[in-house]
Amino acid sequence: MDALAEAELAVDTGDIATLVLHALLVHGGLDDDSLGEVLPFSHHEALNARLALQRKGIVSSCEGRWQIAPLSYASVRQLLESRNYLVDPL
Amino acid sequence: MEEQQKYARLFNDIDSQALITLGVVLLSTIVLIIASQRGLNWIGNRMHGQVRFRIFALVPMTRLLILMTALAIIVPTIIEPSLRNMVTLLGALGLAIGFAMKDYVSSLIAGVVSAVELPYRPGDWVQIEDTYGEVKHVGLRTVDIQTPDDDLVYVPHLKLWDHAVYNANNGGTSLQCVASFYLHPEHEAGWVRKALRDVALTSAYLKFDQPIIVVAEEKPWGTHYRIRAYPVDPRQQFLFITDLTLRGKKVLSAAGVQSAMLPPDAALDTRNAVGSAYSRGND
Repeated sequence: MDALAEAELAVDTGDIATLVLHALLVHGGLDDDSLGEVLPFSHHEALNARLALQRKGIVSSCEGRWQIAPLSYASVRQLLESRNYLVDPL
Repeated sequence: MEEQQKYARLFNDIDSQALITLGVVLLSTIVLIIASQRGLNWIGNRMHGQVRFRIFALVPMTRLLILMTALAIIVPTIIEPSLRNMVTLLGALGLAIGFAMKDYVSSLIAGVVSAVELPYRPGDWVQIEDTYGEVKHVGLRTVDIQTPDDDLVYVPHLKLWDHAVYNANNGGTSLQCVASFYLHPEHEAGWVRKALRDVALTSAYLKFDQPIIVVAEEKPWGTHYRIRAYPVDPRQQFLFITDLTLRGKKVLSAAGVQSAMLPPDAALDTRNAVGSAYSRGND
């Protein structure tokens, strides 16, 4: 339960972090270079947002690609849905 | 003496109990209005999507209800509610309003109409005359519009009577954005159309479940393309248009498609002007 609580996303998660999470889900995981390519920010900004998410345990690395951590998936999906991003029917 | 008594009966005797009632009602009204406005705005700002707009729409309605209730309590406390008294009061009020406060009262009435008809709600993106921006607050007399340049413009409600109100999202989250491209006439139009569609499809801001339309229009100076698409959040509209424009320009320039050389506003009425545009484009 503690691990689940830690993987929760704050309600006031910023726009850049939200777009990073959306991009990671749409592309099924991305490395840092590709993340900078697909997002309309500088590589530095994308890296900064990804590092913050990594520190909170929301994203984790799998074979060089950053993906949403399994424990965080539900809260990420909930956040994207509340902000009108397209999510799968689940 | 009798005359004096007749007029004196217009108002009730204001005793200490009536004063206390008035004080309590006024205080409660102010506190309730402030609490409801701050509370609803606080909740609305923390919400996204449709819920946000519904909560914002409640703000002017709640204030109107509180004010009407307060008036319904206050008026019978001060004035004896007989037909003669009402006619006297309304006549005096009508005279004052007709001469001195016509526009002010017109705005107040338009404010009540706007709370019922909802031509704009907080969170809507509207254009009234030359002002375009996000509605921040719908007040009693004015609607506060924040422009993209971060200016707060106070537009009186009375504009409702004789000016068109352009509402871009009308209480929803769908706000169409248009990115324009002005291209030299010699290019593979089918490819450009597909490329621009792909540019929209790959934008991080795109709302996927709304249509993307690429419109082409032939002009004397070249071809005018427009990408019509929707961002996820209306507040992202300028970021979205910028993203479409920058990436569209990158793709088109990589494929060697040239821009039209003359600005479309330059009318190009004369054939010479068109001829020079062609020759420069072909250089």
